[in-house]
Amino acid sequence: MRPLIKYIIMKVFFLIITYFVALIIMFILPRAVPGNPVQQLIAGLSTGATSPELLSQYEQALVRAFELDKPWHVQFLNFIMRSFSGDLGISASSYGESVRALIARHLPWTLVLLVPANIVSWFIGNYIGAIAGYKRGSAMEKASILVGIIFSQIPYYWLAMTLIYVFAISLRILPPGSAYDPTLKPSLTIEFVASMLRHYILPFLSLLIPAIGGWIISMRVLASMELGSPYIQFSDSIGVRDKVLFKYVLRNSMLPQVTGLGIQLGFVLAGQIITEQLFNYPGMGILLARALGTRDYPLIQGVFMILIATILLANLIVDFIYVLIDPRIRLGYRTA
Amino acid sequence: MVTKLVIDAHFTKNLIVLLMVLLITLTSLPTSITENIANAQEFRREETVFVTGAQWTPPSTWNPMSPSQTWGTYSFGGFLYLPLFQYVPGIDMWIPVIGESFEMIDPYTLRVRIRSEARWSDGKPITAYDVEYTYNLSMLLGTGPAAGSQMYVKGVKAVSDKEVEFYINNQTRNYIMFLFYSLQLAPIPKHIYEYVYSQIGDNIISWRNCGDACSDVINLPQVVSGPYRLYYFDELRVVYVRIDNWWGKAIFGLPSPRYLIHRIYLSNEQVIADLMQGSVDWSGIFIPYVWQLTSYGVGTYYSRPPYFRPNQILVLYINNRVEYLRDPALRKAIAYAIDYDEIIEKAWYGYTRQASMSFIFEIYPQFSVWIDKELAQKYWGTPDAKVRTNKTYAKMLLDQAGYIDLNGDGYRELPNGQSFNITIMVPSGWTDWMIAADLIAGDLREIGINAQASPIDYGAYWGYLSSGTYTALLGWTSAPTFSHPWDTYRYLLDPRITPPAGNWGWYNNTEIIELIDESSKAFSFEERMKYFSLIQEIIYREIPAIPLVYTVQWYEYSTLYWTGWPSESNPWWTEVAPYKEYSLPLWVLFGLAPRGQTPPALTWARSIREGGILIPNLYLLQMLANITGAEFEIPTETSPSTITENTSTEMITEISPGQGVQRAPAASTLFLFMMIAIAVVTIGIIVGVRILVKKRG
Amino acid sequence: MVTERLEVRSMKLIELLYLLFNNKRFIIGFGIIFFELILAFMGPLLYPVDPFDTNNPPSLPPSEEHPFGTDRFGKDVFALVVYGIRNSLYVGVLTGTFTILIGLTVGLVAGIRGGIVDEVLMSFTNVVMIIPNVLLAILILTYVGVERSGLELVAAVLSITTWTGFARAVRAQILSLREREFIYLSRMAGFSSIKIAFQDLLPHLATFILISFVNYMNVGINGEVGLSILGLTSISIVTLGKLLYFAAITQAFLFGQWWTFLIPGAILILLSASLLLIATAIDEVFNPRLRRM
Repeated sequence: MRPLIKYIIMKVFFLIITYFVALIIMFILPRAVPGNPVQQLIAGLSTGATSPELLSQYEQALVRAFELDKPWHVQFLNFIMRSFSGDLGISASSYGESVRALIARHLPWTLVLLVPANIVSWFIGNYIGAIAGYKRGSAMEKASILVGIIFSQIPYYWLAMTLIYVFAISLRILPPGSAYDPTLKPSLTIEFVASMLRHYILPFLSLLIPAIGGWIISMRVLASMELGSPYIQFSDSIGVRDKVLFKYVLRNSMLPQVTGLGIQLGFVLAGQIITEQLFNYPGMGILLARALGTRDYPLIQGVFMILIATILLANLIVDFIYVLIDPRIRLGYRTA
Repeated sequence: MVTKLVIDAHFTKNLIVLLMVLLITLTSLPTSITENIANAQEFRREETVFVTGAQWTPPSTWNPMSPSQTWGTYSFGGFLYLPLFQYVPGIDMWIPVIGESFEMIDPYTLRVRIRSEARWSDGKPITAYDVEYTYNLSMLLGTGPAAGSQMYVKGVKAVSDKEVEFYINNQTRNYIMFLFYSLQLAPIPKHIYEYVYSQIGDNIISWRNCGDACSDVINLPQVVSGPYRLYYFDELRVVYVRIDNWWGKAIFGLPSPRYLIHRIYLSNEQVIADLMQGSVDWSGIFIPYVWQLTSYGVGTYYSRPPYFRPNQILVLYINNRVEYLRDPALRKAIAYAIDYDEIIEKAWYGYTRQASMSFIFEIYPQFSVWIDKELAQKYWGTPDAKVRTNKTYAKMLLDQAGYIDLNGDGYRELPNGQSFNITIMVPSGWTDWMIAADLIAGDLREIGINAQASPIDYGAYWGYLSSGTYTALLGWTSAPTFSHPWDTYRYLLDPRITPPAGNWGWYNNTEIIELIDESSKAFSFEERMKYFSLIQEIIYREIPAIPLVYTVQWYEYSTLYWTGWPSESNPWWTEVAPYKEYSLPLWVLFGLAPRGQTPPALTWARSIREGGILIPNLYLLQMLANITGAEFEIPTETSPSTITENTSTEMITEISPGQGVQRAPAASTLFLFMMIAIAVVTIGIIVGVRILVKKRG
Repeated sequence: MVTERLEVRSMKLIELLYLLFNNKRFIIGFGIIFFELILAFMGPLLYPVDPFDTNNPPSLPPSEEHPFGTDRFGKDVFALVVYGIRNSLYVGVLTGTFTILIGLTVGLVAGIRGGIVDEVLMSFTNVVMIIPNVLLAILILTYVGVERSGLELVAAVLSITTWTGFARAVRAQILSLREREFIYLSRMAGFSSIKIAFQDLLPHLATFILISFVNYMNVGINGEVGLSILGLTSISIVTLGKLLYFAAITQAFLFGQWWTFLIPGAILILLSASLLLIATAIDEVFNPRLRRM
């Protein structure tokens, strides 16, 4: 067990370093890009007949408020210090609103959309893929390969456009976007939930269908490889029942898929920018896209601070699963 | 085979759950549910106007003292906080909103009378002390309605409960800016802000003033002067609710919609889809082929081209900080090379018209008088200073100025032999601008200037603009106010202003400073005209920027739920875009009625001379002229009124399918032949390789 | 997986082609790719229509004159598609190459050297991996400036953001291979790490690299489409993604101009599906476990 403990310590150490390096990158990159949050707020006001003096006074006030007059490292240290006490700062594009509140309001929408889409597609895709891989040469396999290949290669934004065109514009049976009917206030009433579900169908499908295809393909390959392995052939030769065999195959070819799902779920927090944009769905993707577009530094930093931590955690878990699955990798560490 | 498949119990369970979820979602489709929704609506559809196009980010504050506010709250007056007076450019008149009347009691003092009815939404009267406090707090914080006014307004003093005096700053004696700040000041409730300031001090600038719609450092009921207050907001909407006992009811009436909901979008596509489905009533966005939406009950101000009213002037800014780009000959050649009609037709579907080189908003008769026609004729050959595209002349100008292609790459070099290129930046995603920039770049390439259009990220666009590190970009000037063209000249040319607050072209000419300052003190027609002519001559000589077309005041309304929208046939209001500055778009709501009912007749929205309450701008100009002892009289017989004539019928020729350039008719045969040929070749190659491989293998 | 793979070098080219051209998937995939390739390269000769010519009537549905109709700007969609395929394939090939190069270098060095080098490289990989690649690409492209983003730059950005998975996979394979006898033998014989890498390890990875290349080509083509949809690539270069972008910003799907987005989309799906087929076929041909049945 000694090497494993050493391995874990090393992992955690590098994890923390990774976290900070990523944070610094995401702190500096938006600042290196031309433009800053204040310019846009001011420019937004300049479309009206506003006095230039008023605008420059506002600009100064905002520059002070966001510490843009201070050097980068001071800004970074202040940000880190504040965030450890739970204060992620005030958003620039939604001035006055705290970053934490903004994230708290957008996150549920993303989770509601992406987690079910990921999990449902994982189940359906792997199920079909496993059967296809197990029943080699059957019509079922051929059909599922075709479906898998085509589904997996449908760009989800193209699918989204097509779905809007067909269901919302041509047939007019589903709303083209938004998360719920604009005449409702979010609440736990039947009406609201029904309206939410109606608005949910199209974005959900646009994410689900391409994802299913991907899982079918990878699972089919994994299952048929597992089928070719000596222990299955042995079991087959001694007459183990089909049902039991399928279970073996399924269980053993499932592990890489589980880790794959794990990594995907880690990224869920980032939202799905293009889908959310096409459907005007108020998730993290829209929040981030807006934050990047408006150079909302506090918001970008706040989101990434949480996002990177989640992804790292998901990766860490996946790493450990890897080590547990493949003894050869563990061996590699011992001799390293 | 398939049916006999062994199915893992675990998976079956999950599949069933999944199917159930799908079933539930599908059963929610039928209309029976939709009807239920209609009954349980929080905001009843027939009482709600959905508006969009003015707010693109989640809401910020509702606090006029904050440097950033949500739509409807602007510190210079919105739906929640009203200004004392406000100027309506489309009809050249002032609305007395909270203020009742104004006069200059001596050359240094403006006295404003506040309406006796005016009350805050908590019942306390709006007094002169509120106005005084607004000014003082703005001075203290550096933000708020009067921020930056110290150069023009020396002080504000309440002389009685309902009378307040503004004193001009004698150092600048800029009457235009003085009146601009004083008349349009939107007061804040002193009793509320005094308390908040005593609690949180300077942090008041990030106070949200959201009433009970959010939790804040200090939660107080929202106290407003306008007919709406905040009711609710989330990341998709801002909901305002009408104050039914609003103090202005007897004077202005009440706005018809009980709820005013601004829906927040990320992109135009969604807005159009919702507009077609009737879930948006009032929108201010760019829509291609807007006439195609008529069948969905969507209307625009005019039912023919140009469909929309103008808003500002769209300008091609060429960076004046770049030495070689300052050459007037080059700029003049560019102005002549641009095919304005093509831009109007292809980028804007004929929604707009060409702008004048004088930067004067000549669409409105009250402003067109300021164009020096002789000067325009002399420099541009047209009385309205509109450039007539002439590429041959443009090439000749460049040849004469020494721009010649020396290295044979097809593009001209600078007179000193250096090669150069012009990149026209536009925010990416702004389709109309992108096409316009693309067309301009094409025009420039035609006269031998190496030019490209470059759509860039919106944030980066402001970055390049503010740091002055661009070669060219498309931008705008401010919308015209009562002092136009003075305001535009100042915004465009004054080197004391730094972008993005104005002077986007980084123009630097000290001569202009004096002219701008002097003309702000001149009030007789002749004297003003003299200064404006001088400025126009400088513009024509140096071409600090090239005006292209009028930007469009985007305004599309849906008649599915509401009627009475201002339009060509119902022209009671002119400032109709929901994003228009001040409270101007607010008044649109007063003339609406739910579908099927007759819209209210708004008798107040007329000039005082016609029995309304609006004050003609001429009154203000005469008041100013009186200070200097002069008379203000416009020599030409222009009566300011809404523009009804439409001069641009020939501007757009709708292109119907099938017309256009005839090409070789064989295109489709060719296409078919080509596809078959390629398919045959492909199959041939595959078969060939197989045979070849088989033989050897 | 690796253990079971046939080694490329032990096969003759003819044998290889024989195997491939007897695989149905490969034939279909190759057929589609080849068809689109010819279309892309011969198309401009056979269909001499300038894709940048805006003098056609805008938004025409497919007709005799314009087989795929025209877009909002009056450009001929078929001519655009022909140009688009070529540019999209170019981005794909570049992305594939760049990604393989970066990933292979990092993966090999990390796998062979092990220890601290491994940890540092893998941490670096992790840093890149945990930053969502769309966001990273957005920031890099805004930083460089969209106007300067030629196809090469787009490919580079895509590679910079996607090589991590490949690097990790290579490293994992190396770690797995390292324990095998022949590497011990090489090492005992005193061969240098580089020599071991090139002589013993790379050939074992050859098919994996080939398959990854095809897959990353696919990633490149689709990634470019994604960036285009977000408006982050130069508008003067036509790709399939740019066509979808123009369809999106001109609201084609709201005005029922299906030909401007359904056709490029269908071609895109065909293209990437065929690449996937080829990758699957190669995997099957070289992986006896998959071939067995």
